[in-house]
Amino acid sequence: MAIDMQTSDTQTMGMETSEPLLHLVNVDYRVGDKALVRSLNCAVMAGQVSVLLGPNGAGKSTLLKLASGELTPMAGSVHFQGSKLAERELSERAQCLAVLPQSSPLSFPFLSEEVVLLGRTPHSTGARRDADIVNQALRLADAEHLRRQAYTQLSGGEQQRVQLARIFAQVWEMQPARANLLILDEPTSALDFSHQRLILQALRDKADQGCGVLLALHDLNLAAAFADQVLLMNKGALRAQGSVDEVLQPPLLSEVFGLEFYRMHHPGTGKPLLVY
Amino acid sequence: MRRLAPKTLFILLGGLLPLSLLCGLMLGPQIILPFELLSSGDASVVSDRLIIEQIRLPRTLMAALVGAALAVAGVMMQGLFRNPLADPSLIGVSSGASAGASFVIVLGAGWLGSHDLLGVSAVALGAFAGAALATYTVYRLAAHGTGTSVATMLLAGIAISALAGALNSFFSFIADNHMLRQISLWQMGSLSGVSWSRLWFAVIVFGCVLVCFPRYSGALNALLLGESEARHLGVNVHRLKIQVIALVAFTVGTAVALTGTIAFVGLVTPHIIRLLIGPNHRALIPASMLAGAILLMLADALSRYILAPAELPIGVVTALLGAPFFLSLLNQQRKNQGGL
Repeated sequence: MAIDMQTSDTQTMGMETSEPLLHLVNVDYRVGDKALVRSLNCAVMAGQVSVLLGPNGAGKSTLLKLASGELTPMAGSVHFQGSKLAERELSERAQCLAVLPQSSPLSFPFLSEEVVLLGRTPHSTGARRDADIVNQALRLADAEHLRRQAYTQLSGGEQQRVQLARIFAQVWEMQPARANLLILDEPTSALDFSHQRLILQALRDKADQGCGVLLALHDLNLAAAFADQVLLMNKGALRAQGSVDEVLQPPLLSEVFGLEFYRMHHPGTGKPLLVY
Repeated sequence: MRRLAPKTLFILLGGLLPLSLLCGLMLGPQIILPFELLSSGDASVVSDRLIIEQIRLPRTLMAALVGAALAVAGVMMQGLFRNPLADPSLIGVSSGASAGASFVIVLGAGWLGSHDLLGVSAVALGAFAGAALATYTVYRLAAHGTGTSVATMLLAGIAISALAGALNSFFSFIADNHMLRQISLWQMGSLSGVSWSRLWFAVIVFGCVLVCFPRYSGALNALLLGESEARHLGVNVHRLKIQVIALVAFTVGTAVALTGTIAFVGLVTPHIIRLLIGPNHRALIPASMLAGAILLMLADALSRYILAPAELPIGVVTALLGAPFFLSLLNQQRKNQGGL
């Protein structure tokens, strides 16, 4: 039974939550006979971090691709900023929707700062402003010292931070009328502990500034520490949706992941801590 | 390897361009020095002037144009396929052109005759038609509802190249001795016999096409990140692919039609420039055009000079000139622990 989104008491960080920033309505996606995502409903609000959890093959990446417009749903619809995502002009959409895929193969030796500058492709804000934004985005992802190094010679974690800086640069500026959205597929998969926290904190700050953030994670405790909303997927469907307290419950997690979970409290922060 | 600032490279290439033009005018079976032309009046000066005006100038300028066109076609293909080793011949243009030319040489000569249209012979038209047909077929095979698959396109390119190669061999097999010599000379590429009318044709065609390429630099940069990444950066990838493929097929087809297949320029020039200034297309596209022009002018001058009065096929010269330079750069990069 999915927990109804409307009745769930999610934290809203003091924002008026009138209309969701991103809204998936009865979305279906199949490859051949295999349903990757089945009649799924979910919403991402501006000013919130929404974390997508679930075992391998649950359909997390497919859902993110549907949400970012890379895949078109076979039934149902995806709304972004109040209008249909598929009907939005690509170049205009790119100004307020940034996407970080799971891996980005880049075989040409761009310098890190050039990679981050590519994030400014949808904008025409001038070279000086772009350079300024690139600097700040690199600093935010703790990749400033890599700026003059070839991307191809960086380690996996360093490459991931440079790509994150690119995403930050793409939606750096807040637009007055509508909120930006960041969609990230496992942005911390190659990062060490301190950088995992640094990046999640940066995303948390983005949300506090008014962005919507939707990301897939594997680390339940990172989700517990930073999420406003948790979406738990299993076998192509949304198993549960709600606040950290509602969704990160041992019985639910045990059912989805097939492991015995124990919930306690973090001695430092007081946030839920899940161990198995 | 430390990178050169693009500005430094442009100054360097800007200086080399007139020098190689001068080389192209001076070198040949007979070396003509510029000051010899200034001394007035006797018969040898008049004949030297004729050689320069009617033979060397048009052919050197043609070399520059074709060099620029082949180099920029290489840049575009490597960007589109996101593979630094991609080459216009991958999508079947060169082999298609060869087959088209052989077809006309062997079967068409009888009823087409050797008429020239706008200074472009029937063989050249056959080459162009072959190139366009091959590229179109490859593209149709690789295109599907949601876009083009680069992997399918490469495989289709290989298959079409093999088919065109077989046709080529077949035409060579049924050709007589004279035709065979014509085919093999044409396949090695040649700039001999470039007239002013043919040059003007090339100036107009290449002029129109070459100015289109820099427009794509931003989109190609984004595409290097990956297709979906480029789409998320607002690039219409499908439209970009169609336009770039059409432009490259037209450019290479025309180049092959005018001067035969000249190998190596399209592969090596962008590579060298990329090793020097990095993969940013904003600088890479214009720099490769300049470098391609310089490379082919020098290669043409050498092809006339080395075995004078005989002339070495220019395709041989480009390979002899380009390959060692390319290998030394690769080796240097390997020592510096770089990936391609």
